[in-house]
Amino acid sequence: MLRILWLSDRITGHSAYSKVGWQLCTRTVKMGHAVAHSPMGGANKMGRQVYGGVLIYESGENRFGEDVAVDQYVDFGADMLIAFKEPWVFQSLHKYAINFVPYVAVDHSPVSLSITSRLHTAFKVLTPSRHGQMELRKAGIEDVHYLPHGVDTSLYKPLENRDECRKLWFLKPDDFVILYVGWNRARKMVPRMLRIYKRFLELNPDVKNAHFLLWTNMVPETSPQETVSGVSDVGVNLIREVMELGLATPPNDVRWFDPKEWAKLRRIGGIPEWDPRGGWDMVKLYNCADVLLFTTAGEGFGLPLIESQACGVPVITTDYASAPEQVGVGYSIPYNDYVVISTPGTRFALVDIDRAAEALTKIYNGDREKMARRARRFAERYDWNRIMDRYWKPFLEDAETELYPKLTKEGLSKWI
Amino acid sequence: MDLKIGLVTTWHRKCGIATYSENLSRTLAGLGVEVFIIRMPRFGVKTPELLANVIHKIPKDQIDLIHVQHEYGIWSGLEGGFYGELKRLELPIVTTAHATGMNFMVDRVLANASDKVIVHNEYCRKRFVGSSVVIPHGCLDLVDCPPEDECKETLGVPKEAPLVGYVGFITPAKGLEYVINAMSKVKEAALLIGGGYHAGKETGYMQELKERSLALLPGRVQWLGYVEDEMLPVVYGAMRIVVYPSISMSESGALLMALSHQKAVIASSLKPVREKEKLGALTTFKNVRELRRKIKRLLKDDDWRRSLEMGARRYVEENSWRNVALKHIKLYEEVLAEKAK
Repeated sequence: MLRILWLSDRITGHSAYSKVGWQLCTRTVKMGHAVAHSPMGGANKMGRQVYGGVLIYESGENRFGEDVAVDQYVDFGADMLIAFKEPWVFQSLHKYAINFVPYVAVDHSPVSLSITSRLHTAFKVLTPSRHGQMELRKAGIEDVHYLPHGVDTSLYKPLENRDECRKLWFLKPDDFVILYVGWNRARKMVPRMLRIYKRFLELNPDVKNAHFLLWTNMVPETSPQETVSGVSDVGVNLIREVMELGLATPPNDVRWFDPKEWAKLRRIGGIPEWDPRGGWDMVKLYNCADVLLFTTAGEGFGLPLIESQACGVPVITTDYASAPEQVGVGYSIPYNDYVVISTPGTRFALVDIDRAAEALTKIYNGDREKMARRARRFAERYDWNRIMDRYWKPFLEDAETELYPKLTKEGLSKWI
Repeated sequence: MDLKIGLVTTWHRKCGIATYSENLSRTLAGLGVEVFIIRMPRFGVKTPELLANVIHKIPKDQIDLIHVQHEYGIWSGLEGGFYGELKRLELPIVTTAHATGMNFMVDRVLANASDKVIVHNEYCRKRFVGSSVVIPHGCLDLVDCPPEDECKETLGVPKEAPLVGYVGFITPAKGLEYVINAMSKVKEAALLIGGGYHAGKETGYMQELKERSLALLPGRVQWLGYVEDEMLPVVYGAMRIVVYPSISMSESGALLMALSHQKAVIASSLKPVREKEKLGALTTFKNVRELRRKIKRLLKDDDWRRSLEMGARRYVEENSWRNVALKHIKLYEEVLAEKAK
């Protein structure tokens, strides 16, 4: 039995980090290991508590938990500290004599020195994509293990009453709904997606009732002073861009949520993954879409791609970094330029707008039922049960043997 | 007697102590000892609390004694607290001091806390403040390298010139400047250097050395980077002579590795090395001039080279891991018998 300290965004939230953390931590507890969680960002100021079998420590003052993580490691008697965050945020954690296991999402290429410089003495390195694994190995990092993010396919699934889902978001059964789910930050390139949508409308003048539904914060939530990686962390005012591009008026329009209402939603932690009472939730949101447009400038994994396909919705993304691996049904669009907008100097891809608009057209004219079936089959590969069995269990077993080796005449085994 | 020992050591890292422990524990296990590895962190800032964490994980009910593989750098000067906590487990303690005399306060802690202290040679024994037992560093079983030309072809190095080489960690203490300087005037041979640093890709020191070697030995030097174990026979096989120009050394696993590969070795004239020279295992040098002279002579004098290779074989057979492990078992049994009294 291992004792694992999980340092990340709070596992009880609704961000991709939170969702992945929750699944891995609670499932690891069910496997018989002991798990504690150190929530970043001052998320727990109410003392220690146990939730879902996971001991949740109080957050520190440092926003990435560096002031408390080592003490918590000692207190918990941890065998390893898994840090699920971009490694460049750490100033000291990686310098301690702990079994440091960074879970690194690589959303660019070539991988930044700001990342690799923090990995050379790691006990092991986890990464959610084959792209990340390849990039890190190329940079001389050893012992890099692939652990993709997963999706609960019993929750994220195609719903029979999709029309009802659409009603929740004031959409009609015959509307063509393009969905974006994610942050509004420069790296996500939402303004470029708006231009793709506009180009799609230009290419298809006969289209009626096509809506681009933005499930994001329309105004920036992060000020430049708060950023870690520079401009790429800061969002833009999307409302102004929608207006400038003339995309605010029906019948073909962009739809979004009142920033004030959005802020209220954020304060209560966003919408749940599933609301059995029939209210807004992520599953119903995906189910009201015809396609997920996710042509960001770089993804370390791209969880919405998998969630969307699990709900039978095809995806369009950028053929850069980790995102293309997550495309079963849909299109990976080539990029035709890149920008450097993060402090660590990493490259972010600029997707080819014309080709992305053509991909939207293909999906608009495609057989959506067939795509939905194939999308679902693809996403099932990422079901959490499968991820645990195929990747996480073997990793933990290897780690146990490496942390507690016992050598006898019969060979190598473990002593716990 | 069924022995069960807890071996406190670094493990599965690019680290001489980790390699030593792996070889020792595998051989001990082969001889019937159950070895529980208590993993010490190799890298990073240690605190008393982090080291106490290591001790709290020791399965004291499952083992008969604790054997600590000590090297100053790994403990960061926190030996006092560590051994104090270790003593509270009330198990016999054996320590192998891989280096001695560099910090007398620390040596005193090892001497006081341990039931027995093992050192690798007479030089270390004399420098240690307390009593100690010499058990030499083990040698891997003799390895037959493939033919020189074949090895050179595998490595993609020209076959024309004989190769003088070094394989091991590359740090300032390894003194590689000496061999680079010496080789600048050995025009008939080329230099092959294999090795890296414990962590990361390259250090500033390594870059400096590379620049220096390229300037002094244009077209006559090749750097291989870290050499994986399975490539060692090929790398040593390509070399006619191996040089260990260390500035200081208590013992060198890398040097012994060269002997296991049956190579003629020239090493710095340091006390622990001279002990091996007396046994005919290698030859030593005092300065760059002498190193240059010996390289030149060894390249020409096949008989001398063969006699050194023969000496290397004898030393390796005498100090095989099996023999070394048997000495450990005898010592463990003595310690346990003493405790039982």
